Amino acid sequence: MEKIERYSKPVAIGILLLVIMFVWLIVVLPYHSSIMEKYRDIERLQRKLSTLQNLEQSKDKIAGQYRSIMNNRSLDAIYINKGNGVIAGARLQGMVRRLVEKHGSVLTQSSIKKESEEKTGSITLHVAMTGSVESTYKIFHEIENSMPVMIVANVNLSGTQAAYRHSASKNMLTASFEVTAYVK
Amino acid sequence: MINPQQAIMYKSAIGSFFTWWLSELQQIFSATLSFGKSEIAEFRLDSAGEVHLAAEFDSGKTNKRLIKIEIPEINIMQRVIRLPGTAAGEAGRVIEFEFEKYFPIPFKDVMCVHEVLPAADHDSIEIKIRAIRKSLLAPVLRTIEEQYSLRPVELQITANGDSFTLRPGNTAAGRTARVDKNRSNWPVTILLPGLLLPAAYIPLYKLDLYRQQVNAGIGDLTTRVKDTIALRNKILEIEQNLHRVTEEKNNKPQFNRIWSAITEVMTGNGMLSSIRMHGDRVTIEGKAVSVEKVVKALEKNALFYKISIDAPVKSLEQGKFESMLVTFMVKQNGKN
Repeated sequence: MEKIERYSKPVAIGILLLVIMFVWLIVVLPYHSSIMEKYRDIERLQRKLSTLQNLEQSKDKIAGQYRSIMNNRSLDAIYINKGNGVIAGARLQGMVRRLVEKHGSVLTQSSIKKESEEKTGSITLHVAMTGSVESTYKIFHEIENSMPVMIVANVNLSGTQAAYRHSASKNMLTASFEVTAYVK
Repeated sequence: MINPQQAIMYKSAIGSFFTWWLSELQQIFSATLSFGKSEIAEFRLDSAGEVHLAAEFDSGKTNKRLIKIEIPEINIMQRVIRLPGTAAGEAGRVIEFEFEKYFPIPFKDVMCVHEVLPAADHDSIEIKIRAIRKSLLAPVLRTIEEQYSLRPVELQITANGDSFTLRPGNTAAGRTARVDKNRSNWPVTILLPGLLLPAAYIPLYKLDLYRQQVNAGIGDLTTRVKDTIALRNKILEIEQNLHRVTEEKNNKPQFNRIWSAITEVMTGNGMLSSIRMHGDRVTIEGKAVSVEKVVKALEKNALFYKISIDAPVKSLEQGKFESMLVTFMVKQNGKN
């Protein structure tokens, strides 16, 4: 009996601690996490609301910005075409053909690579041509330094004296390469 | 299946456990917290019926409190009775009806408590009844109220080491008080969580309400700024597109520049038969007076790095030239 008396208080405190822990785990923690979740959700929604309010306040400014971008001719010059992929491809082919012919070279092949323009936002043309060292060099120079923006890749240049030199400019080169232009 | 007797036994066991536990906690807290001690007023009733203050108490806090009164044992009537096990839940009522069978005084003239004792068998229960005459207690309480301005909420009666608790309010109505004062706190114990739960739900409800308001605001604004969002998205798309084009233009090696640099390296050193460029990797093929010299010249050029000879060098044209197949990487924007 005395033993029971002696341990009754520690046991009571132990049970109290267990009860507190149980209540903490079963009630307080889920309640707290539920409150915090709602707070976070509200914070996120408030940020969204504030963004929308800012948008509403600056709607004239945004419309003006859009108009100015659409009227910017220099921006248009960067891209091959605003139209669809077929028109842009045809335009790129025409441009390269005119360029090759202008420098006295011969275009032997030009074909659009089968890649969706919608996915990549660009059109790639495979080109094969024959020309002198000098004209080939000029063609590359013009493609890479004029508008619309075009990038040359996967180049295969072959022929004697392939290295560009004015003294060797009469030598004929065979070139195949890819030209990529961008669609707006 | 639990039979009714077992159910009563379990109920009684659980009740006893809680009674024990709460009373232990109460003792621990009142021993630990100083205000617990100071609010108990202790008195002693002598054999002549005089009331004496047994210990000093803090009179400043409240006049409603637990009062301990030590009463001579002779004034306490007590008896242990045996009832059928089924009467455990109705013990108070049974005692009220059969009180005069056990004590020589009407029930209405006493304040009494009963305590269910651990039974030897499951068929019956033993109940300890303790009673005290109202005619004895009334003048005592009056004296305490008049002299010390105290109104007892609970009376802890001590007689010869035995102690039990009475609630004057309850007993005045003629009902028996339970021996355990914590038992009388059960409604509070149940009511408190009952009140806490709705109170805890209020913040959740308010947050939900506010979220709904914000959501409604968002829905309304979204409709109003739909066109502006579309324009903003188009602007972002144009900007991203432009950024991508600029990045690619700046990062892809410019063949025209590479060819010029190769020409510079090869001038006076040999002749090329082909140049191939795939990504950043360039391969040149041809014949050189000295391949080693070409490699050194390429290494000196800041545009090229990772230069390697990809095929065995062979002597050509009676030692006048060497066959050359060299590969190297091109730096993009001056980085490698």
